[in-house]
Amino acid sequence: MIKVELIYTKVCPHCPHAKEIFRELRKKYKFDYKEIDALSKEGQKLVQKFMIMSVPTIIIDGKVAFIGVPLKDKAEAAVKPAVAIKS
Amino acid sequence: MKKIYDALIVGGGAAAMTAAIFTGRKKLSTLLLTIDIGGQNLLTEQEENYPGYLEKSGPNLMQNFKKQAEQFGAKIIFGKASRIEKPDGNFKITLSNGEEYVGKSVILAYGKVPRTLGAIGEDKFIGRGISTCANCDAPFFKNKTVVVVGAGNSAFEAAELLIKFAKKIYLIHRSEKFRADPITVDKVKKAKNVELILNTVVKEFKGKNKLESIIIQNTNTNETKEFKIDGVFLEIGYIVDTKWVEHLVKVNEIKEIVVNKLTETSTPGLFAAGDVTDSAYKQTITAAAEGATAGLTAYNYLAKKEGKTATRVDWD
Repeated sequence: MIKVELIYTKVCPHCPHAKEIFRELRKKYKFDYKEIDALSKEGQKLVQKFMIMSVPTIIIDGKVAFIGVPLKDKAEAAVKPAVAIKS
Repeated sequence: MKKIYDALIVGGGAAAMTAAIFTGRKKLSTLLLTIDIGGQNLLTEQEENYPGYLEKSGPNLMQNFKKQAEQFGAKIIFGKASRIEKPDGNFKITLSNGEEYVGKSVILAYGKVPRTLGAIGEDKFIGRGISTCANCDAPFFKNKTVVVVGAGNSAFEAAELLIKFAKKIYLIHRSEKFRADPITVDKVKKAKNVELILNTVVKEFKGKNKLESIIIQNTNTNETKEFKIDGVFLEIGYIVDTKWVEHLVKVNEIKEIVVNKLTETSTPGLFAAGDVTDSAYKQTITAAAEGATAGLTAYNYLAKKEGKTATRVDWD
């Protein structure tokens, strides 16, 4: 299953929008989805591993897929290979 | 058959949301097409001059605008409007993903986008050391050396925020004049970890997988210098993107949409409000006021077209 990790900070004004996009896509497609605070222990490991310098950063299957809020259609294209929940 | 909305509103900030409140209250079917909710207010944690709002958070203020617009029936679609046509009496707007929406009237209220330098290597390092959002990215530069480019309130507010995080901040500006509020300039100048580099521009960004150094040039002597840096915050103002609407509106010398007092553009049924217009001031309250005017004017336009009673423009 596709794994999506959305790295955010609580003060990032664009991050809620990025979260909204992926939460909506989660209703349409089946994929593993997690939102991780960049300043948490887990987040800091990812920040170091992927040299994250900006949020939101979206990691898909272990690669940085988007830095910043992606356009909805591009986000959908990135998770679409997954099996759709609804037809 | 596509639904034909009474009002399509392009944008999601103060002007757009206020327009949606007013069209909604007039029972016009309203659809907002926007890339985000809040526009430039998303970057403001010091919203101090919106009358009656004492909380200060720009994003929270915009969420209230959104709730109110939705309360009156506004629908929101996230996407980037990239084409507008008026093939018959109605308008058709196409998003960058190909989706099309039709409206009897359109209000353009999509504000401005951050200006970039156009320097060599800039595109490569956006998000990889170059940021246009200090609120978003300051925490990633804790104990690092950063540059802020600019001289307005945005630049000095970014520097003020970074003082708490960065080991060293260079504020680079092309002249010696600052446009920022004196109180913020003084605060920043007094900080021990801030150094101003004036009469200087950034010419190039360099690095492998992330930004590692920049080349700067003195505007008086033309002397260039390279120095190592961990991050650059570009705070050099905003520009209007009107290329996609220029065939339907008149624009001024800096490409802002020209409107009259009723927010009418040169095309009947097409209105514009907020920072995207040639209005003198770019504040949340002025954008909201223009949004309200645009909403009422759109209603009047449709009412006259359909033989209904329009809103009175002035008091008896």
